[in-house]
Amino acid sequence: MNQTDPTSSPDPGSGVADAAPDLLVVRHVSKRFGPTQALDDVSVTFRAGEVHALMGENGAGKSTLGKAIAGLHKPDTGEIVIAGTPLRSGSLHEAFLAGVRIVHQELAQCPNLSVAENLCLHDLPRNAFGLVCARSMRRRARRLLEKLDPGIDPDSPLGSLPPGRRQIVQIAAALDERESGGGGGNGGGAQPRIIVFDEPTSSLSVAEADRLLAIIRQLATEGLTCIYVSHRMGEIFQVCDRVTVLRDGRFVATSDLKDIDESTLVSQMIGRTLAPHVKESAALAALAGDGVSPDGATHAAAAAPPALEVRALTSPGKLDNVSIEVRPGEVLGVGGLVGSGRSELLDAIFGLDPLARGSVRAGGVSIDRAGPRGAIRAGVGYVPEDRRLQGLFFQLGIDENIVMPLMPFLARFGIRDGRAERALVRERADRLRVKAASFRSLPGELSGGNQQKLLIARWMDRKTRILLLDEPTRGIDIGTKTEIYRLVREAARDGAAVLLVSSEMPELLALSDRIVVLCEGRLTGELTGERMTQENILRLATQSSAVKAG
Amino acid sequence: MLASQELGLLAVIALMIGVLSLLGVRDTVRSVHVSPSDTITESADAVALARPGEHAESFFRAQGWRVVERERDGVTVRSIESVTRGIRFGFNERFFNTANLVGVAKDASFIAVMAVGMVAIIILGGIDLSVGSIYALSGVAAAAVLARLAESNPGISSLFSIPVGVAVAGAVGSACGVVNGAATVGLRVHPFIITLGGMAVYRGVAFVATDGQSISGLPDSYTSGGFKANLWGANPVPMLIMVVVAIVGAMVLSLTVLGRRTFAIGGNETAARYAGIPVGRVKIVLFTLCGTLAGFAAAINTGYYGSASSGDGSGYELRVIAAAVVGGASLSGGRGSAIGATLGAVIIQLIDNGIVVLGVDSNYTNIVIGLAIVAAVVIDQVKHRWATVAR
Repeated sequence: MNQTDPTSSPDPGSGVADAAPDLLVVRHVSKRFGPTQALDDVSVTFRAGEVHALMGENGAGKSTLGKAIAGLHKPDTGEIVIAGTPLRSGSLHEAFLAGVRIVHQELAQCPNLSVAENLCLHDLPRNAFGLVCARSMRRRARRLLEKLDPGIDPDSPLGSLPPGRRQIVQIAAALDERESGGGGGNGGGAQPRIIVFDEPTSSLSVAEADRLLAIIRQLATEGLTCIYVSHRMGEIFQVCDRVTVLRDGRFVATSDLKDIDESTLVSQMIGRTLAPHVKESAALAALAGDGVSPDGATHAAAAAPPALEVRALTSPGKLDNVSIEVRPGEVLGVGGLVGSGRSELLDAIFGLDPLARGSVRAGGVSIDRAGPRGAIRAGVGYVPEDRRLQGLFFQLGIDENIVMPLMPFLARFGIRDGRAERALVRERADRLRVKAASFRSLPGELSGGNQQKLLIARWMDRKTRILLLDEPTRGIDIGTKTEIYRLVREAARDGAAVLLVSSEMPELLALSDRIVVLCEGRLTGELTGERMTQENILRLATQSSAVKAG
Repeated sequence: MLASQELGLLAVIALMIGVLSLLGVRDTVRSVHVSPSDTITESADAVALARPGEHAESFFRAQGWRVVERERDGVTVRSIESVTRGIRFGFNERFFNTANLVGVAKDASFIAVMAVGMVAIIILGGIDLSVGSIYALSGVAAAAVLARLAESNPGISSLFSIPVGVAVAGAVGSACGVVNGAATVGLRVHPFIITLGGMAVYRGVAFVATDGQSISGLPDSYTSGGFKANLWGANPVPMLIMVVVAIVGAMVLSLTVLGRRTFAIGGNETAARYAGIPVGRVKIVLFTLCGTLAGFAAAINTGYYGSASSGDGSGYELRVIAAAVVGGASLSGGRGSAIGATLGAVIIQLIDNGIVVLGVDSNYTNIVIGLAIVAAVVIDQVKHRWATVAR
C-alpha cells in the first residue's frame, strides 16, 4: 500500500499527475456539527489536472470535506490554500472567485425553468428595454453546453431532462467563467480550476454514469482538478488518479489507484483493527454488562416459525426481489450504504409503499395489502429514520405522541379511553425513562434522545411482535444510545423479531444476530457468525466481486 | 375544557359588549333660523358658512339640510337644520336588550355552525371554500321538500317537519362534503382547488334547480313553531343550537380518535402515515362532516327566515374561515378549536352589529371586519412567538 503524508511532496512513481504542481492544499482542517466531529485535523493535497477521489463510509466526512473546499462549510480550524493563496474560509463567493465549483445532488436548480434560464439564472441577460433577452441567453447556454452535450436543447424545461442530463447542465453551469454576479471585482480568478463532484452518479443509470465519468476525465485532461466524492468502488477505479480515504472524520491515506486494490481500500475505510470505534465501545460494554448478548436468545427461537416473512418484495426503482425471514427473538441487521434501499424495505414491509409487489407475512398473516394499520394490527411496529419528519407531532403533547398509533385499539366506539391512555403513557415513559416536565409538554422541548424514546415507546409492548428500527440511535447522546441498545435486546429476549437498519457498523454488528446487506435495492448477501465483519458488510454494500456472499 | 385561547376570546367578547353597552348615539342638531324672506336671522351654531342676513336657504337645502318650523312664543320660527349622529357615553339601550343580543347570536349562529366544521378542516391542514354554496343548495333542497309537505298537509306537526327539514339539508350537505373529500383524496388535488370548483358547482346546481326563484311557503311548525319559536320574549333556537354544536364539536376534537387524528395529520402528515393513521379516510370523513354542518346551518336559516334561495350564503365561506381564524386556527394546520371558532363568529357578528348600533355608516363594516381579522391573527402570532422565546 502506498501512503503519502499529504503535506509532504507527492509520491514518486505516480502516473498522470506526476509532474503536476499542487494546486489545492487542505491543512489541518477540523469541523464539528454539534456533538459530531465531522472532520478532525484533515490534511490533503490535490494536484492540478487530476481526478482525486474522496472515499469513506457513511459519516466518514468525505462530503463535509468537499463542501468545505467549495466554501459551503466553514472549517472551525485549519486552512485551505489554492495556488499559494489561503482561502477566506466558509465563503462560497471567495471559493468561487478562486475557481472552486461544486456539483451535487441537492444544489438548487429550478426544474420549472428552461435549461438556458437555469444556466443564466445568476445574471439574466437583458435587452435595451430591461426585458430578458432570450436570444443571448440561448446563445450563452449553447456555448456552455456545446463541449459537454450538444444534444441538450436549451429551451426545454430542465425538469423534462433525464437525471443524467440534468447533472450535465449542472456541470455546464459550474464551468461558466462568469464574473460573479453583483460584485464589482471582475476577477480573472473566476476561471474554474477545481470542481467538487459530490456523489454525482447516485441517481444515474449505468449509461448516464459512464457518460458523466467520460466528461470528468475530459475535464481533467483539460487541466481541471476534479474532486470526486463517492463510495462506488467501480467508478473510482474507472476514472480517478488518486484516492484519499477518510474514516470518522480523520485522514487515513492518500494512494495512487494504480498501486492499490479494492480490498486494501476497504480495509482502509473500515480501519485495520476491526475493534468498534472508541465512542461506541462504552455502550457496547454496557450491553455486555446487562447480560443480553446477541446469541443469548437465538437458540430457543431457531426452531420457531418466522415472525416476519418477506418474499420477492419488489418496488420500481427502490427494491428488487428482496426476500428475508426474521424469527421471534432474533435481531436481523440490514446493512448497506445510504440509498441502497434499506429504509425503502422497511417502508414496504410496513405497507407505506403502494407500488410494492411481493408477499409480506407477519406472524403467518399476510399484510402486503393491509397498509400501515393492518401492519400495526398484525403486531408490526416501526420507528422511522427521520424522527422530526416522519415521527413526531410537534403540536401534540408527549402523551399523544406515544399513544397515537395505539389510540384506536384503546378506544371504544371511536371515543378515547383517557384512563387507559394515561396508564399506558405513564408505564411506557417510566420504562423508557423519558425525561419531561409533564406529559402534556410538547416534544420540541425534549432532547433528541428523549424524542427518539417517545417513538420507541410506542411499540414497547407484548403486542408488537415485529419491530422495524431505522437508524434508532441517529444523532443522540451516548447515554441514550446505551438505553436503546438495552431496549432492543430486551425486546428480542421477550420474543420480538427485530429488523434493524443502521449506518453505524459497530452498532449493527453488536446488536444483530444475523446481517443481510442491500446494494441498489438488491440483497447482495447474508452474513452470520464469524463472517459478520465490517469488511464483509462493506464489500457486499459496494457490490465488490472480491468476496462472494455464500 | 376552555384553554387560555378561548378564555381570551371570551374576554374580548365581554369587553366588546361592555363598550357597546356604554356607548350611546346622540343626534347633534345644528340649526340656522331663517326669516320669511329667506335670509338668515340668527346662527345658533358656529356654522362657518352661515352669516346673518345672507340669502341662504336654497344653499343649505342643496346640501341636504332640512327645513323645520317650530312655534316659539306663539310665533312660527322657521329654521333649517342638519342632524349629525355622534357617540356619547351612557347606557345604550339600543344595543343592550334581549332582542338585540339574541339577534346577534342568531346572526352568528349560521356562521358559527359552519365554522365548527371549517375549523376541523383547517386543523387538518385543508380548506373548504364551498361551504357557502353547500349552505345555499341544502337550504333550497330542504325548503322545496318542506313546501311540498306544507301543501299536502298544512297542519303538519313540528315533530315531523323539523326532522325532515334537518335530514334533507344535512343529507344534501354531507353528499357535497363526500364529493369534496373523495375528490381531494382520490385525485390528489389541493382542497383549495376542489372546493373552489365545488363552490361554483353547488351554487350552480341550486340556481338551476330553483330557476333562481326563492322558495317559501314552509310549514309554520318548521318556522314560527320551530327554528323561530318565541321563547322568553326572544327567538333563541339558533343560539341554543350554536352552543350545542360548539360543545359537541369541541368534544369530538378532543375526546375521539377521529379528533386527535385530525390534529396529528395537520401537524405532520408523513408522521401520521407512519403512525398507521388512515389519512385519506380521515380527510373524507371530515369534509363530509363539514358539509353536513353547512347543511344544518342552512336548515336553521331556512326555518328562521321561512324561505331559501340559491343566492343565500354568498360570501359566507370567507366569514366562516375568518371566524375559525379569529378563533385561533392556524391555516398551516395542527391548531384550532371549535369553541374558538364559535366565539370568533360571535366577535365578527358583534362588530357588524356594533357598527349598526353606533350609527356608523354600514359601508364601513367590511373594512372594520377585515382589519379585525388581520389584527386577531397578528396578535395571536406575536403571542405564540413570545411563548416560544420565553421557553
